[in-house]
Amino acid sequence: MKLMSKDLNKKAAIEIQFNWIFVAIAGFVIFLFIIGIAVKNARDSEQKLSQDLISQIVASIKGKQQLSDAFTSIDIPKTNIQFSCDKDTDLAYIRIAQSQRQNLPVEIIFAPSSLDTDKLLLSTEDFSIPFTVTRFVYITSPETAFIVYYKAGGDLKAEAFFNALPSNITKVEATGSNLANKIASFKNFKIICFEECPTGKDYIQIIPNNPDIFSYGQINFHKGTSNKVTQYVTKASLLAAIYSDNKEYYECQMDRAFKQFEIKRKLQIERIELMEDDTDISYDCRILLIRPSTTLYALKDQKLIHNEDIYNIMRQFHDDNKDLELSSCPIIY
Amino acid sequence: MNKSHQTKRNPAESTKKSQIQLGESITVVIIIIILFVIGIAIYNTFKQEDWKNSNIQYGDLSVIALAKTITEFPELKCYTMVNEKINCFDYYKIHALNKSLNDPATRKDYYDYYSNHFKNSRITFVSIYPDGYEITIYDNNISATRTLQISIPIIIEKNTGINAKRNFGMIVVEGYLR
Repeated sequence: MKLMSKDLNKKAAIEIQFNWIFVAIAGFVIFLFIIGIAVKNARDSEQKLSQDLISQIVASIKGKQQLSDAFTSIDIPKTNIQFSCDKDTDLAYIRIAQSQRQNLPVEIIFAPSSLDTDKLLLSTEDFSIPFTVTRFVYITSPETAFIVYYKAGGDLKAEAFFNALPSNITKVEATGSNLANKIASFKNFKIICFEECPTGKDYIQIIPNNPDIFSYGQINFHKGTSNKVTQYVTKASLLAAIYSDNKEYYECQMDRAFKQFEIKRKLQIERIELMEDDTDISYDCRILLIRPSTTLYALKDQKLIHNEDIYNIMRQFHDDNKDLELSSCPIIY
Repeated sequence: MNKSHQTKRNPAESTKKSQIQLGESITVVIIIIILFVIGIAIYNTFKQEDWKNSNIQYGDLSVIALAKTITEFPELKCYTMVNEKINCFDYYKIHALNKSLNDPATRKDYYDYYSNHFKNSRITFVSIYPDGYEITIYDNNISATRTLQISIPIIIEKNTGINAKRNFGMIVVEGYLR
């Protein structure tokens, strides 16, 4: 009997201890659960903040895109913004810090692949070949300087280019003798040169194939010892190359622009066909509309590589449009 | 005193007491868990309501943004040789876009591109005076729930050369809630 009572006492003591262990474990699990919810909420709100910021920036960019030839700036909290373009899918993206990237399905933005800044400098330019296809948006930061390199004894091309650069960016003129001093003032810079380029430096060389530097030509992205050559046509395309970090990004965005051009070209043809069928338009005008229609067919599937052809067809199309105006007919663009 | 009291306690009673204590602890834990579950359910209901509201707000904002964008579409606006005409939309351009977006032969290419601009919306050009007609160029009728509707007064110009026929009208932009 005495032995049994001792045994029961021991059992009770174990149960009381187990009770405490159970409470401790349950408390710990509840504590972990609360901490988990708090951590998840904190992470969610951080992500939401980044997404909100991205949405605001994209909305601002879209808003600024409405205005042609406009310079403006957007003040944002200091952050890292990344721009990318996928050649295989033809999609462009914007991403802020570690947030989810946001697709930019129709916007064509030329910017460095990564920007650490609290201010975005935006400018826009119509991409017209020759009718407006889309509006290019150029983005940079005040910390990035565009150094236009002049050859010794004056450089008219460099001067024309310098004056054409948007006035809201950090732009500097330099020659062989003062380049080192000018570069020393900036952490990030791009050297843009024409016939003569500085040795031992990365630069973007513009090689126009026409006295008018904004018509068409070639662009050489020189980095270290490598030279990557690509083409440009029109001022919008030339500025696009200058704002881009590399040939790949520039070409990817230009490919997207030419895909939009193909849609707009077909729309123009459709419009001319409607006009040709409309008897409200005089017979003479309808005859005159045949030429620009043929010119538009000649612009089918054009790519950046055909820049000379595009430029010549553009001029032809411009003349066709002028003829229509002089004959008091409805113009094409 | 305490010691003598402990030795005098009935062991069966002590076991029963600890069992009751354990039962109490389990009950408390279960009640806490139930309270947590109820709390999370209420929180989720509020969150869902919040999400619904922000979705409606987002839909409204998209319609406002689209209405702002569409008035600047070069493929719809009127141009002179030197500049664009403010608030003027070209009759032939509207019809060309309408045909391209609704003709089964061309619809896919145009739709893929313009759905990125127009998203879940319906865009109608309405001519009011002197001619009255309506052209719905785009309608992505995902659901019957409609959000905001914005009407922008415009001029629709049919330029046939020497004469240009102008109609007063408006663009009606309506958003659908996904």
